[in-house]
Amino acid sequence: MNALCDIHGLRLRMTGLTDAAVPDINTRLHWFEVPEDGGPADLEVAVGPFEPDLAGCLALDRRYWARPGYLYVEEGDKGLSWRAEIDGLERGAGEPLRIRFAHGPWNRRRIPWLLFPDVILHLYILWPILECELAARGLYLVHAGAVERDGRALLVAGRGGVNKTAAVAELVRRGWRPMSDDFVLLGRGPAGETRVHAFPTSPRWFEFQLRHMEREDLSLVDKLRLLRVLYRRRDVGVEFVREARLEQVAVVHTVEGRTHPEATPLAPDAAAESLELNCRMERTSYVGLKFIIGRFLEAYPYVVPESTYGREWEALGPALVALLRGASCRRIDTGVRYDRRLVDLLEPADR
Amino acid sequence: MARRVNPTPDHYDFHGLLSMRVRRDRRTRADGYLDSTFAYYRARAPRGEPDIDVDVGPFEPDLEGTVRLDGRWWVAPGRVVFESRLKMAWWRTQIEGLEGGPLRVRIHANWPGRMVFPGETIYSLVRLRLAEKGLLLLHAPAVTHAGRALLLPARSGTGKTITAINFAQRGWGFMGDDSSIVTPDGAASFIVPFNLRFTYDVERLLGIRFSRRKRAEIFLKKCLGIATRGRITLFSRIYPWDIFGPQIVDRAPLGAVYILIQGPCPAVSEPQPPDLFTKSVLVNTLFEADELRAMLLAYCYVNTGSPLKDLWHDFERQMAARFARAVLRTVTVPPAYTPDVFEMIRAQAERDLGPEGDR
Repeated sequence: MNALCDIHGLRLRMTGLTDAAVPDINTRLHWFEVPEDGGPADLEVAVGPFEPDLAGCLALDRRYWARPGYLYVEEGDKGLSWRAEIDGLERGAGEPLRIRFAHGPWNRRRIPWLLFPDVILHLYILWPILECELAARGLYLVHAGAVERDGRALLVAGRGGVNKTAAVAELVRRGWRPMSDDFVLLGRGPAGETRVHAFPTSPRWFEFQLRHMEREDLSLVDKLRLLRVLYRRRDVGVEFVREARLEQVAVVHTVEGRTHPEATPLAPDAAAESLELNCRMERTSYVGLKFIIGRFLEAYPYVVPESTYGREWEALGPALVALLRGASCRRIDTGVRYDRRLVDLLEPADR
Repeated sequence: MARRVNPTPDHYDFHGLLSMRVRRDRRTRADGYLDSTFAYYRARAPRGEPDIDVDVGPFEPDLEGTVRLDGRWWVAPGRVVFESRLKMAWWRTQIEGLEGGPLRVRIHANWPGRMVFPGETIYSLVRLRLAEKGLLLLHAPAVTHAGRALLLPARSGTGKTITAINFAQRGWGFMGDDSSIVTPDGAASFIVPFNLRFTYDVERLLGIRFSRRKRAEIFLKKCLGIATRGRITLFSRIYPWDIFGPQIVDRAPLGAVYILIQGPCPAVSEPQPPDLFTKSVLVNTLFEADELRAMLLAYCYVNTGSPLKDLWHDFERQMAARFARAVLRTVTVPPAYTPDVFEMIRAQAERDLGPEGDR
């Protein structure tokens, strides 16, 4: 299966993907898919067996082989394994970055949800590269949900498990329009204002949560419904707003022993630091697996220290400080369990 | 709750730069790693209040009012609680006093965890406290010649240990085969037991004869290594101070830094400018400090504005300053380490460090 994605101007072509039975799990980018037009792409990804070209490469950790512009990776995690080759790291403008990716022989057998193994490509290889490529275009991927009203966006940021999705779904039920429940892109608009670009990674799951999960506990019937929604091939029934102007940011923390949510004002610089470190933490911890996602991009400058690939992403902190200037930011401390009063706090007082 | 059978603390003193106290509830056979890792720096008596105070044993973490992240970090100002897992090993750590004052640390580990946490968590704490004092614990062995130190940063598997041992065998001063501390006035040793993979003939390499018991252990590990086709890395711990005791040098001014990178053909580069070179050495050190990096990220995510966020920037800046007067070279080492490769490194190092070397 081939796919062409247009991620707010970044064109990504993927060939040789497994035919996804559960698109939400298999590829986190299917919301961006556009019909194939045969035009050039910024990122060309080919899935399938390949032979690496290691001539002249220096090696480290028996995992990474690099020479200027070229990187070959052999990684594994918890019995999964994969190989990837990235060519064109020092490319000029207009040339594509070429990625070839191959699965290890046991991936399909290892964990049931990896019956659809392209998730490995997305999580471990494509995600860090997308972050760098988008940052090079002035778009910064941040870990936050977003809703929109009257062209103005409210960001709900937090680590996984602070109920971003549930809060966003509840806000949508209260009349906001959804942008994304997990990730958004921040960038500059034409007039220099900060704009939020939608980046919904699992729209079907969000649709299910919106329709059927007003309460947090899932009954057996709900679970069966969830399977039906996730496996469904037809288009997502929720309309996500593509772009809006950034107005408010709420950084949500879950605090042990807290009985009611409480909001405190937060300086935009501190909010930017939180957003930055949230992104960096996303690379070091993924659902309890101790593995550094994107380590291959750190290994590359070990061999090629003069490389500037990814320096825009490295400067994520100052970029976010500049982008958040002028936004009204708050920190919300809530209990460890989901509390509907969190959403009362998220909605601004003027309503 | 904890039944304290053995409250006698162990004191460690790293060149007077850092002191540590370790108390534990009991001694188990798994504690060999805790006993041996920093054994070279064991001190008889405490020297004032320790910088790091570690208490090993079951404890009830104080989570009230902490922010929970990812279900494994609990963060409050100056305090972090986290749970770590590495294959079968599990341990829970509570650290207090992160911003100033002595670090008070409590660690509770399961049996395999007691073998792992010294190399992960205690290393992290030592690295953190040293970095806060402007002392850089680099993942680089160090040897000395003509009174000046040569640092050899490299990824594991490149040949750090074998190079350091070869140098020591030829009478050079020995400052550690895995890590060393870079101080404002040079390098300081950081000597931990050799972690030797049994790809080498260790007895011939070290020029020693093991006891019958040690030989049996090595033979068994070698067989296991073959049986598992190298899937588990089996190390045996051999103490450098038993072998190179008289040659151990504690402090020396920094003369040269050679980063070893695995590549197709052996080569030594021309002297490098410090800024790019520092970047490579930083990557090499960061790859060894996963746990500390993750801990600092979690801590600074909640406690915004903490100075700990800039730790690695300061680290890189200070490293560039310390390397400014040393000869910096990149050495390409082929995957098969041969005596010729060592001779190539030695010939260059003698020129760089020797009396006729340009300073």
